[in-house]
Amino acid sequence: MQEKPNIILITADSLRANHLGCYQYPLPTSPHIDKLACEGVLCENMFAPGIPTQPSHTTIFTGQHPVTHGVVAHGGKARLTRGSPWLPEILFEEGYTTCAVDTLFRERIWFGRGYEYILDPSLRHMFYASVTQEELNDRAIHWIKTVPKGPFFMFIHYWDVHYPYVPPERLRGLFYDGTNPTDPDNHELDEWWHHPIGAMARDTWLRTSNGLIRDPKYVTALYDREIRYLDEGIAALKDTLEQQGMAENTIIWLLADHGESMTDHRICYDHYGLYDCTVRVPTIVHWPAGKLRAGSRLAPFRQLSDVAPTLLEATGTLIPEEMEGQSFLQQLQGQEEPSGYDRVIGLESTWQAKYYLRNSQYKFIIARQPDLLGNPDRELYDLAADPGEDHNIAAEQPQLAASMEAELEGWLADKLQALGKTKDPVKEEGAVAESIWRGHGK
Amino acid sequence: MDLVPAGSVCYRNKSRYRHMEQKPRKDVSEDRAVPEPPAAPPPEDPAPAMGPEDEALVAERLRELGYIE
Repeated sequence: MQEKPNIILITADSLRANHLGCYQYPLPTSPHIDKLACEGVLCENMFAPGIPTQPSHTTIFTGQHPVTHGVVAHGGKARLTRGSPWLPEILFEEGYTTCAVDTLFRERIWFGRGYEYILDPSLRHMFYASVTQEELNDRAIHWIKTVPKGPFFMFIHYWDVHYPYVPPERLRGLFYDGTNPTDPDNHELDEWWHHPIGAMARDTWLRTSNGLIRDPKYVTALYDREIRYLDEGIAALKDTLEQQGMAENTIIWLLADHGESMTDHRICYDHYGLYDCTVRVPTIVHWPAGKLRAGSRLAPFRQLSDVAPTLLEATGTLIPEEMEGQSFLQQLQGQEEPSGYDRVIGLESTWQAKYYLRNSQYKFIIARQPDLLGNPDRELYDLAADPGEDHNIAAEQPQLAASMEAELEGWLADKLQALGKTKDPVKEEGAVAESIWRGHGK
Repeated sequence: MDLVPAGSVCYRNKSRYRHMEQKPRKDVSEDRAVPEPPAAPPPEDPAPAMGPEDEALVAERLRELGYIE
């Protein structure tokens, strides 16, 4: 067996943790992912310190908080600097053959850094995120069987669970117990049609021969079918590794860049808002030869910035000082007692300009500008009593809110000073997509 | 706040995190039959689809919003 492990890093874009069986979802969306979790280690509390896709993936690959790497928004002004650490580049320099089965480099150029191979079947689509797991797997599996002569790093970025939710027709009938998805008297999604992403859905993928889909339960069923479809793809990939005799010493690291709001908090089928449905992400690590504590679940808080340092330690590679995340490899292996962060601080700057601070009981959210839904600029949730974050108690507990605000602002001030920066990146970028949309006269 | 699901096993340790499961556990889905889609799809299920024109429109809208360069 080769000394260094192969790595397959999988991000399932927009995969919400609690829609997976292994995260206690009551519907059987994910039998193969659940099995992967039983054979590996599952992180109960992995958080994205920046959403959505571009900030989050930049954090995954740099091991840095978004305030540090500066990429806080889609469509923002910030660009990743060339000197930032970048996981695929480091592994390539360590002798790995590196391959991305991904489209992100079409959005921002730095996502192509460090790859000797980039496989992009989405060139066959008008919209790159319409690429399916089968199209990605076709290329990935062929590559795995034919190319690597030594350790390899493969990044696969699945888009199936990201909108538009258009699962294969053969999954029709699953997960929906309503009676009429296109009932014209159902107005539950009417507010969404006024949001540009909702209007886009209304004008494209929610139009059917039966009429416009109006039942949110049906849209959620489509999302769940996409998970089921993705689950089949994960199984196919794992089967390939087993057939090739590679399964033993290959790390499969499955995670999401962010979750998805169904209709939670009046955010429909999208991934903004700093609530747990979007910032708490699934994470499963599977590595038979790595002596992981199979079947265990780690409860302490981790952040996506920990992924790159952990993978580097698993390959015996020096972790660059510039990476801020912490390796938790030895916890995955059960050699260290589980531990993690007391708190996570994160941000978004695409549809809303906000920060969050979450500890084991409370979450505090502060807005840098009024949001498009008219929410108050300070929100506080008691997650023990209100895990859905439905009851804002900022007015009821002003001292706690003030204390968490001071903690968050103090952290940010210290961080900016240490980085030699003077401007709050979220304040500077603002809610970029909303601003562009408003600029179009909407 | 109890972050561990019901029925799980907690691991005693010296850290501040009291609720963490470190023993292999059977996953809930193991005991559950995984249903297959019905052989004949229900007629009320409209099965959305995306044609190239729809994909192009989605891409155009997201480009307008700055998602795509």
